[in-house]
Amino acid sequence: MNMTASRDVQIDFEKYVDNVFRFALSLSNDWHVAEDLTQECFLRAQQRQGQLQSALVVRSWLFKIVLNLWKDQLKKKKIDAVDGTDGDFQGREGRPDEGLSQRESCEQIVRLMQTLPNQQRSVLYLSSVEQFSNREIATLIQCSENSVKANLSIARKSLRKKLRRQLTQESTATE
Amino acid sequence: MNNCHQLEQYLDGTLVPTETARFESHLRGCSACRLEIEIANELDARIYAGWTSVWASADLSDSIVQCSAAHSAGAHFGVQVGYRLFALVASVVALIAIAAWYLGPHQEQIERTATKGSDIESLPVAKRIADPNSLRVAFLDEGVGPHSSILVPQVQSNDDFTIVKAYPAIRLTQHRTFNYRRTQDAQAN
Repeated sequence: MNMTASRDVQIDFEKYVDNVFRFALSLSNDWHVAEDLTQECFLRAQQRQGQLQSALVVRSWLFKIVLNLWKDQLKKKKIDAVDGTDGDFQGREGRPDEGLSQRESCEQIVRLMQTLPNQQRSVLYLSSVEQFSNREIATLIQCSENSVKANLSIARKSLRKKLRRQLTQESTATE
Repeated sequence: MNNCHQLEQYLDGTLVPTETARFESHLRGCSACRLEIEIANELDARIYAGWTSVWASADLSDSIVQCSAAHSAGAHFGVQVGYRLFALVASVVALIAIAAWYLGPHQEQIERTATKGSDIESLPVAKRIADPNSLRVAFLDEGVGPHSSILVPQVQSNDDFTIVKAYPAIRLTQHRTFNYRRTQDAQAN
């Protein structure tokens, strides 16, 4: 089996649109910015398809592009990513088949994650949602595995605390 | 023994197997730690379910698919055009070269004629060459340059020199009579 992504082989990038979009959203906390990042990512991926080392790492390669685009955007606009604030989730248009409760539930957890610092949020997203290993995350965001472990631990601990509070409020409200 | 302090390490998966076993036996009697683990599991489940229910909008997906299709078509077209253009240019160059060879001046023939011994015979300097084995001559003709010289490896006789091998760098485009002199003579002058 040929593992190399040949120039002649057309990589099916489209199947990663949702993954890339989610990661972009986890980075930017903004629906419209995430859409722009996703579009730009796929444009760049098409142009640089020849640089792709292996067809097996398409997803992490696309994530790397998104991450670089996001970093570039932060540098250019000199804007701060939403850090530790109640991020804006506006602009979201749910799918027609998406129920209200599902949207609420989804937005709730995404909002909860938005309260985390950038690094912790990205690491937690990549680990919990994309199921990347610590090593893969370390390679992707260019830090040590120990740093990934520490960020994951802190992020989970912080969110557990918030979730516990939320669950307590929910149980109080139902009573 | 109270093992509650190991909860975080247990959740992070950083306990060694013996410690893990010990902590799990601790869990059986500690409802606080059990609750914390339940919350941790609930958190992971909610994160996964929450994020995987986020999708890119249909417009975004469509535009990416269209852009990708257009790019693929463009790339394929570009490769095809590239190959065809290269083939066309190569064919034209080959045709021009063949036509020039047939229709243009017969440089090889002229060169051979010009460097035949007859030209050299008319030169007094060349006739005075003593060394029968080799002849270094300097070209004084315009276009070749006064300092150009050739080594003629074979000389037939002292009186009748014939250049049997012309220097490949010298290419003549018309009949001309050349004035040859030996290099030593040129330097002497």
